[in-house]
Amino acid sequence: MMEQILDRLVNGVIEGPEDLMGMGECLNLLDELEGNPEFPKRWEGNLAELRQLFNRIILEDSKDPDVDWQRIRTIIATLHANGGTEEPHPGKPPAEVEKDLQQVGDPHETSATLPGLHDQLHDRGPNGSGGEGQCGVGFGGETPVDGEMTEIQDPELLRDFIEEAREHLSAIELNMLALEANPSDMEAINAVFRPFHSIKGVAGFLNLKDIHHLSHEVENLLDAARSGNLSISDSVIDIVLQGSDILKVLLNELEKVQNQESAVIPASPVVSQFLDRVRNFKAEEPSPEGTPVRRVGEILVERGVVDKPTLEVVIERTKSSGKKLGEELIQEGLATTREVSDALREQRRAKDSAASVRIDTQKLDNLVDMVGELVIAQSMVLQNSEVQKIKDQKLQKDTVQLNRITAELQRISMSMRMVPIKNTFQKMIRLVRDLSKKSGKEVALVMRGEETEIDRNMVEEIYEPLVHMIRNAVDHGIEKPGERIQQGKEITGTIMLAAEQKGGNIVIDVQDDGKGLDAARIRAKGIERGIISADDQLDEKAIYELILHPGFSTKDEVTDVSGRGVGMDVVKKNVEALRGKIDIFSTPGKGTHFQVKLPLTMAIIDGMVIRIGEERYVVPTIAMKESLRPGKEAYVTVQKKGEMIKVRETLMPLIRLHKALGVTPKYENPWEALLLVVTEGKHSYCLLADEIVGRQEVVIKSLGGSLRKLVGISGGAILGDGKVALIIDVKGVVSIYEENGK
Amino acid sequence: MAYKDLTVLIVDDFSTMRRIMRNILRDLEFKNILEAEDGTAAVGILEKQPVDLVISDWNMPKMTGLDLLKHVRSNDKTKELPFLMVTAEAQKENVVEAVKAKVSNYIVKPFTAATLGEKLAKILPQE
Repeated sequence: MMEQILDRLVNGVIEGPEDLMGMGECLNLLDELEGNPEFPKRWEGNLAELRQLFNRIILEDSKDPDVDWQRIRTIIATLHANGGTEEPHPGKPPAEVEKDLQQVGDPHETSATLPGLHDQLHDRGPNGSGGEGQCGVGFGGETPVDGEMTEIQDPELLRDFIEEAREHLSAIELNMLALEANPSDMEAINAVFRPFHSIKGVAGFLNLKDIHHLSHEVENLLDAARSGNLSISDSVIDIVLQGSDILKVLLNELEKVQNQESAVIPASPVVSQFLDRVRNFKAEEPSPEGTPVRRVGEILVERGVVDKPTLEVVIERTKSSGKKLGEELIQEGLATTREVSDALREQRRAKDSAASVRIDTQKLDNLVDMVGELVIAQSMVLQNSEVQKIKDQKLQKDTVQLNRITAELQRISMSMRMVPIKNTFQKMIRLVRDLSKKSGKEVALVMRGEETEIDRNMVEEIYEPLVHMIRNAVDHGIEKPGERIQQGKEITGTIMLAAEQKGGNIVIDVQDDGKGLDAARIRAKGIERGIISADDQLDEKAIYELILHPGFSTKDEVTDVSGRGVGMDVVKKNVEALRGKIDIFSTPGKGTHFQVKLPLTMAIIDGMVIRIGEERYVVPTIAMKESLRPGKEAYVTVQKKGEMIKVRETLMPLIRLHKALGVTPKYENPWEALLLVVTEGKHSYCLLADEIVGRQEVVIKSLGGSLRKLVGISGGAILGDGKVALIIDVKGVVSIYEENGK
Repeated sequence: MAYKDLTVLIVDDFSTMRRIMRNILRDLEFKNILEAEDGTAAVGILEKQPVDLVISDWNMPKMTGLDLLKHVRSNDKTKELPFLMVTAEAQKENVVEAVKAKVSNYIVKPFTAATLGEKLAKILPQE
């Protein structure tokens, strides 16, 4: 086996140092050799040297590839001939190698190059400079950027580059968000790395020095992150964003210069400042955790292995000997290997515990689920009629204790998935700054309640709606400075972004002090777009909500800020996907207020348990406005519209839940039963149920298989008594009602 | 060397970069130049038509240049296909990996037509 590999290795080095593929084969053979069970340990030094020599030649770092090549051949020949018994003088000076070289034969014969072709090619640089003036090996490492390569010669190419670079840069911010949520997300790191890498590559060819240097530094920083040498912290994100900002500015400047056809681009002081910042940043990057770690010596003293004075003497000695403390102690016989390795292990443990642990969110979800099950199982046991019969004080006391523990457990497990909304909010600062620059409006962003915590699964989902609401506020809400002065407002418009936890909900407010929504115009547009008909009677709020309708836009012109009228429907869609709700309030001349209400977590909802016949269902309270039992006179039948209920002057369609769900109710008459008033889209509806059983937080269980697609049901939940109830999806129920005719 | 009869495939996700490569290759009198915007697209082209030379960027989404190289080398039809890897100075260390995967040669960005010509002279079959 060994011999075969060695044979192949000898044959592998017949070609010269120009034969990359041959060297690749050799490197693979070395791996194979080392993996062979017969591989003698004493060859390790030779192997390492061989690898180093190959790498040096491959990477063109070799001062004299032919000498290195000869050395490779010598080592391999020795290994082959003597079975490696003879140590082939590692690190032999070049002079001696020369001698070997003559003995074995002239390697130049094998490394044939084609001088004729080289000459021909050398005359043809892209700018007629005649190439790099280097021949044979050792080319390619030169960077024309620092030489005198270019003035810009292909304006179209430059234009394309500016365009493409911008496109790539715009993707960076979104990817940075993904990174912030999950700093070890390799895909995201790569996605951020790549544009800088590509921009750098092209800038090198076009001799755009500033752009090249800047993208190069950012690329290096990200490369360190890619290889795990740097963790993505807030300051890294900050630097990358700043880098991408400066790049955008440089691209703008480049565009101007290109239009003026004067190719002189002055080196920007901003760039050099930034470069300094990045370089210094790398220098001062602290140890990954930044927490002080106990020294091995301290641990050993603590354990009584050595005393402090002795330790100090030994430490002093390590400074001159360059050995590690542990080594020195063992050598001196002051500690056993075992004791040192134990201390090292403890040190490592301390390091680990100082760090935080990254957990798959799926596992957290499972934990929350299981805790939910635990709470339910507990109440099943405690509510068991046999258990309740027991009149034992100790049992009662223990029950209270058990309840307290499970409640705490539930709170903790939920809180593990919560993160402050701060990070998401802070991204808006940047957005507002950019938008206000773009639109020429002066806008200040005021934030409140950034410390409010939100389910980490929702963080990403809430980002896009926030962006759209803020864009909308800047673009359609806040007036131009001139207009604001005329209105007697402060020149700077204000957008207030606030988060607050209210009961089981997170309430996010986006409020601007702009011109407010123009109800008449929105209405007219709604009719024009066929979203509503001219005789639809809508209250103001319903009119405002039209702007959340897909494709609705009151701006006739497409603006750079809000784009093409798409967007606000995304807000509604995303918020609803999170089982949330959005309300719009507006006062003409005073401003617009978007209020988003989201459940605290996706795993648990606050539900109203209702009964219809023998069945119980859960209606998410967030969907409900009120519940009532109407008088007989409130029930009317309207032609073409069917059964309606009049609730304080407003007629609302009556939806008989039992029909949609296919069960037999106890009451058919609304005035005997109970109505849940819900809003869906621009209308309110009354859902008919027999009675409300109570309000309860339930853990949502998604339905599997064919049940998953059931319209009108969003999942199942286990109630306190251990029975299963279905969770009603109000939107689905309304759509069934609308489709089946009223 | 009759470069004009050879079909070369440029693989790079950055279109400006492909354009630069195209310009340089034209300087070297290549006539038949194909482009692919990532490794996957390159595989598609290689399956459909004969190509004499691949010049691929290393860093691309979905399928990297190294993945593409490995794919090319694992296929009997393209096992011997001249494959030039384009890399950046900072990523040069990775080249050894590409060499182990039998890359024909590599070139460091940015480069001149002359440098590319030298590399090609090494890896293209001589008449």
